[in-house]
Amino acid sequence: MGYYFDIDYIIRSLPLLGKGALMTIEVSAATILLSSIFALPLAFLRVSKNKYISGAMYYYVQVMRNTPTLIKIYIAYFGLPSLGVMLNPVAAGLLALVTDHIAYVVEIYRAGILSVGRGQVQAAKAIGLRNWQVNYHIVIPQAFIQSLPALGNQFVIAIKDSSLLVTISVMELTMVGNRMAEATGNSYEVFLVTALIYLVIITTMSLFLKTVEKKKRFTY
Amino acid sequence: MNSSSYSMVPIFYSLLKASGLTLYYSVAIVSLGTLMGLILAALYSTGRKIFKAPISLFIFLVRGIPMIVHLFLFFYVLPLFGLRFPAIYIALVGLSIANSAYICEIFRGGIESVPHGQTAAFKSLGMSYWAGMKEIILPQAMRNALPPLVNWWVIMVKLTSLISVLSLRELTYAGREMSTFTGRPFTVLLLVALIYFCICFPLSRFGDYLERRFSYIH
Repeated sequence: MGYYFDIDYIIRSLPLLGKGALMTIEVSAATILLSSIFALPLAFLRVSKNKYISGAMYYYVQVMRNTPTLIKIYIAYFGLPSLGVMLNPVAAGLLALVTDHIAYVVEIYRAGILSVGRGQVQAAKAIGLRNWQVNYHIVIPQAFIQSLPALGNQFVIAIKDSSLLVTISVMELTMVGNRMAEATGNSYEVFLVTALIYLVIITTMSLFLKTVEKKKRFTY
Repeated sequence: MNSSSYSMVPIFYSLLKASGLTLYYSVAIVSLGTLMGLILAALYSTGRKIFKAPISLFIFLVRGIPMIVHLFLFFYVLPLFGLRFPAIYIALVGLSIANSAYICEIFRGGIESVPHGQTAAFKSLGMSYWAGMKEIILPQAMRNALPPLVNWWVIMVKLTSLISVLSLRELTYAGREMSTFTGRPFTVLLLVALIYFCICFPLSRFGDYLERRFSYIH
């Protein structure tokens, strides 16, 4: 075969790949943070009694669920400039990933909101709380805690989705691996190490989520 | 020629032609991936260590690595071992193998949701493992596994867009090509998204229907 595993090269490549990994974590953390903030008001629209409002939110979720993330990334990066909106790769990628993840987080929050018993809402109204007070003091705290495990899973998905930003040259882990493979021809080593780093990040994340879930019983 | 003087009709036509390829690839990876996932799940639930350990490792490896990195791994690493295939086969088989891990998990969940007493019952009737699996367990497991399976098929259709990253022609690739060709990327890409939506939406509505239909306690 005449091919050998260049361990020396791997060690020299680690600092660069580490930088890429940091970018991957930053992008996915930002994605999940932004989408869990923006999804909260939208989740209340999704469970609204007004048929048109909840219907509009339903279709937002469906459109996001049924189109590839890659196309949204392309629309944000290649499509928006023709409307006069110029974004750098990171901003465009974040915009695409956040609009995508909001749809999933809205559904997570919706399940959380619906899991809060009607009796609690009625009781809160009976003692004279206003609607926003009911939501702020009674519904949101419980719904949020119910949603935490699913949000954690969404974080893992966000880490994997951030790899798609390789297509618009965001310098995250996959892109760094790609560039190094092109520059040196050591594609075997580079992609194996890249995959290994993803494995470490994602496994650590899911183990952490599991222990948190075990420690905290998500009930009141 | 001014870019705005292009008519949208030929563009739409060439996108539709490319979406034929996307449909074809989707059917290929969905059927191959589902078949492999089913075999893996059946082997896993025999409970034998020789099957369980490697399948668990395989699932762990696949789920911890993004799909696009799997594609790059298949694409760049296989030739080093002297294995040269046309790129499209690498992409399709790679996507099928990687997705079979997720589908195995779905089937395994379905099989495990069938109460254990049923296994004990068919064994006490003298049925062999595979006969009991076929007649008793799998029909019930299917009912539990079908809704998440159909939802995973939607994800697989969307994943065919990754094939374009390897510079292979399908809907997403045609969308990028047409958007440079016409200079109207926003319109063209929106059209591409619409075509994907028309393929995926009926499928995910079907998944939601199955979920409602089968969600009763037995």
